[in-house]
Amino acid sequence: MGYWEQFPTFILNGIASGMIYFLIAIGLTMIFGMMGVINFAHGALYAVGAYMAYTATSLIGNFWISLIAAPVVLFGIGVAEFSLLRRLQGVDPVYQLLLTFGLALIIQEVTIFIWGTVGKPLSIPPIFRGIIDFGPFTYPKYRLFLIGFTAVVAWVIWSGIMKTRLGAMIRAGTEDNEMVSCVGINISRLFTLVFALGASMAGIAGVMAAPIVGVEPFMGMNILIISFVVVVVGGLGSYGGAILGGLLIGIIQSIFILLFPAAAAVVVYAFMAIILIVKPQGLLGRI
Amino acid sequence: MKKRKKNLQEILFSVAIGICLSGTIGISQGFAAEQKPFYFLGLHCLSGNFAGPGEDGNRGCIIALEDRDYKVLGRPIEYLVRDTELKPEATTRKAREAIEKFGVKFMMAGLGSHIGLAALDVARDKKVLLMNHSSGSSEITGERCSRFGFRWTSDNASIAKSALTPFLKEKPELKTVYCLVQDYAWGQDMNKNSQPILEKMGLKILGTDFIAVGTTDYSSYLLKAKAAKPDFLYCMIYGGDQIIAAKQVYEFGLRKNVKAILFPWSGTTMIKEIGQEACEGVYFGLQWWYTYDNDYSKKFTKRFWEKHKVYPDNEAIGAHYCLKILLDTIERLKTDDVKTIIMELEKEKPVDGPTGKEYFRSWDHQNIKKFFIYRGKSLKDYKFKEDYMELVTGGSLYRTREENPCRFKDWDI
Repeated sequence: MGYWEQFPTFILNGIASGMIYFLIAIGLTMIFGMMGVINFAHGALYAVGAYMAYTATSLIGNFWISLIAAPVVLFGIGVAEFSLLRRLQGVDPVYQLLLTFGLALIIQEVTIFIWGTVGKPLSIPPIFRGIIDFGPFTYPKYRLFLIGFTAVVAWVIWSGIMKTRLGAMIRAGTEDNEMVSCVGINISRLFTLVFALGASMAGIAGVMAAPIVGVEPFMGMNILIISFVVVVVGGLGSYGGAILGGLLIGIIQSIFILLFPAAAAVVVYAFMAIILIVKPQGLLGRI
Repeated sequence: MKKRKKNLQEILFSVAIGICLSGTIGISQGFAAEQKPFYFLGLHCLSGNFAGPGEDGNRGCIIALEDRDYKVLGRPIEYLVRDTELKPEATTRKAREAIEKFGVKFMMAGLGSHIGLAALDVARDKKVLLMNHSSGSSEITGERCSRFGFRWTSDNASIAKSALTPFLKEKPELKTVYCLVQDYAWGQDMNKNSQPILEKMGLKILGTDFIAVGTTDYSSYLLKAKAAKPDFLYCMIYGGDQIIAAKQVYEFGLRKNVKAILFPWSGTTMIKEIGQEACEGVYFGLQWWYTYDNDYSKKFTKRFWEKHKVYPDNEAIGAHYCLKILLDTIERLKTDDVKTIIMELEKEKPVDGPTGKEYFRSWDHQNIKKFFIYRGKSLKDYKFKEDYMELVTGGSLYRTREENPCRFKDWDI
């Protein structure tokens, strides 16, 4: 099969990979956009989500419960994490970085304490096992579901931000949180909510990715790097940027594997460097 | 006169007490010398992606020490454990520190070709005997071999010879191959050793992709391999990356598109993480598997299960075997002189090991053992819960002296 015949498959695959990247990066960019905090513990929260998927599947035999339980539990962890971060408001951002990094290590060690150092097997839910034949190409059912599910999540977040009162407050808080505070909005509560929602998104990403990449204690650190690339390319704090960045990174990676596989590992970082030089605020960033 | 006599008595009494005290100290010193600990260093990967199999290596050592009640030559064994962190610089630093501080003469290392090579450099430099129970690079008993280093696992060159060759002979229907190579020392070395055999066996190589370590999405590589329509997908990928790759091979339905899929080197921990469904019908190269039918394996697996309630990885049994052989030799020769022990191990006396009769070859210190190809079982064929694999083939073909560039330069044989 020639390269051009394979192109649509690789674009579709790039979109699927990009959707996973978006799902992981959206929480990170939400938190940064509102509070200016780079949450190094985001990857660890993603791993907790994956472990919850494993636990729900192995104990109850139901993967889908984790899709509800993980965001709820991660919301709670997000509230707890932000209660610590709140104490560092107004001090050098380096302290916030150190705190989130420390928390990432603590969460990772707790994960090891509970589930052990050896990773856990997690299968794709039976309903989405197998592949769909599109004629010229085939594609796994679960990845197609993942694309659809992430598109719905993206739409819900987008609608929530653009069409609700809470969304208006968040947008205002992203622009100027002091002004929001002046008009009587409890900015601290709003920050806590956004932070916890960001943590929940990490949990959902972990649940969705677990059947594809497996579950192991260090999976968070591995994914954090590509999440930062997505956030930087899309624009720090930009919701649209997370979608655009995720899709671009996914598609570029996929196409390079087809055409220039030797460069596939570095192309995303080279792309990020170009973006930083040409448009330092990222493609849709406003900073 | 009386006073003088009394003084003399006091002096004699003091001298007597002094002699008694010094005698007591001397005895206690002698006792201490007799009881001076025998330090043994275990370099295991206890953190990061390989922490699971690394811990199994440590557990294997501990069982070997428990077998001897932590004693050798009448001395208590002090087992020093250091985490390699899977970093050569950390391995070198920690090994040197332990050797210099405690006078370690014997050590164990493995898991990661780069770790094995780093430990071997320290052994050569410090004249310490190194038992490597799990590194695969051919250089360890090849270009960079040392008389101070012994290696249990079959190396990449041997795996290619003793596993890939019989595997391909059993599958004459395989005419084309697509190779996926993990882009680091082990993967490149495995690829270098495998390609000549693939060509020699008449397979046409349709493509070879080098994939960065730590890749979490193999989908595009798998689509590319699928489009090439090979008979045989040969995945030279190890560790956490192998788990992800094998899961995605299953997800993308490649098992239905190709006649055979082989991961040339895997391990218990990896196979458990991949899971039954993704393992089914896929071939895995294994140094050893816990259902292997011989006395050593059965005894060790039973002991490991009773202690940890899990089945052992090849790391565990490899570490156990290496340490057992070492301690048995020290005890038999009644010496801990490194050179004497090395020369004894070079006598190529076959002993019962995890894969049958095994021995260390005198001129490259490679352990001669079997290497196996197993296939993932269908769930209906399981005899117990974790009965993942069935034996397909295996062999013990190693590099000949002409093929192996190893020439010891440490001291004359």
